[in-house]
Amino acid sequence: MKRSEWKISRIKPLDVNLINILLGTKIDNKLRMNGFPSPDFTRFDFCTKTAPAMSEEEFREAIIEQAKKDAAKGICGGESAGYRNLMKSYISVASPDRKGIIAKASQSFAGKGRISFVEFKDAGNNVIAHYSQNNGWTMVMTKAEMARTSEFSAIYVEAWREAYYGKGNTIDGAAISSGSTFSVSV
Amino acid sequence: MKAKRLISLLLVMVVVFFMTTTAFAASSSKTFTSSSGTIGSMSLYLDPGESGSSSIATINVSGLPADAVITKVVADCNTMSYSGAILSNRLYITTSNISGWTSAPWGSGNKTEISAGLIGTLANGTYQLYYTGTNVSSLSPGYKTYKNIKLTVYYNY
Repeated sequence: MKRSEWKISRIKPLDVNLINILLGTKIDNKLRMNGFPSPDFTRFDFCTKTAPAMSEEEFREAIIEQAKKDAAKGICGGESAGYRNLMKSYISVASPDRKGIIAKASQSFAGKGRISFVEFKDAGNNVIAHYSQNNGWTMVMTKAEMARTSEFSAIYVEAWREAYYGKGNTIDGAAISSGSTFSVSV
Repeated sequence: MKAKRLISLLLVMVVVFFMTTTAFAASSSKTFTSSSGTIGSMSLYLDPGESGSSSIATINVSGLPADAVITKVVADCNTMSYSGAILSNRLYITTSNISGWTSAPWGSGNKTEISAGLIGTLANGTYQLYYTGTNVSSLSPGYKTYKNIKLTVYYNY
């Protein structure tokens, strides 16, 4: 056997994982798309611009119905899958196109090796997402999303209170009704 | 006599109106402290001149009235260990009742108040926090860990 053949025969084929890491397409054993792992936009806290699933009036009715269902079960807010799905659908109407912004920005990082932290901004220079090796993806709400969150919560909480306390349930032994007009510090 | 009757009737109407529309909302606050382990800490290691985000700390907020809504949240991060020169920039927070993160500039005395994005949302739930920072040294790496974070939730119910 010639010396050059001997060398080649003893070089192990590179592990696929190692190739991915060297190419910057894999990090911490998770596949990267264009330099990052793709964000999972099916998650509750990952909103991106979507067409409204229903009219504003229908949304309002759906939120009230959800609140009634949750009140009947004795649960409130994020512990309800129906609440999470509906809130995500309601908020996404006002969301920026995170999917598009991230995909476009990520292309510029392709093959650039390990990236420890990136801040993604929209055209208005507002932070809309972070990617870090520590936490993966986190989606930062815009002012429009915050306003929509506040609207959703106001409708839900009012309907929940009406349904829950309307059935004679009490909190700390005192009946509560909606439409509060006074605030008492305890 | 008629005038007296009219005034009485008006008074009754006013009383009835307020009895049917007035309700009382109470305000209160409660402080929750994160566990001392990794899950309750925000840790950040940075090379010279780099910026980044810390690990996420988780705090469970429970025992408040089910319909309690947030008026503001204050995070007190005065228990820390560090080396080097990491400057804390912003604190990010989310709860299991909202579909995204909100933030506020790092507060003086390591106490940061956040209301934007949280006000009016349900108070009970799982809260998560991280901070962004910059290593202002151009020579040495640095780390900073905040633990035993005290989270005070102000709420109405």
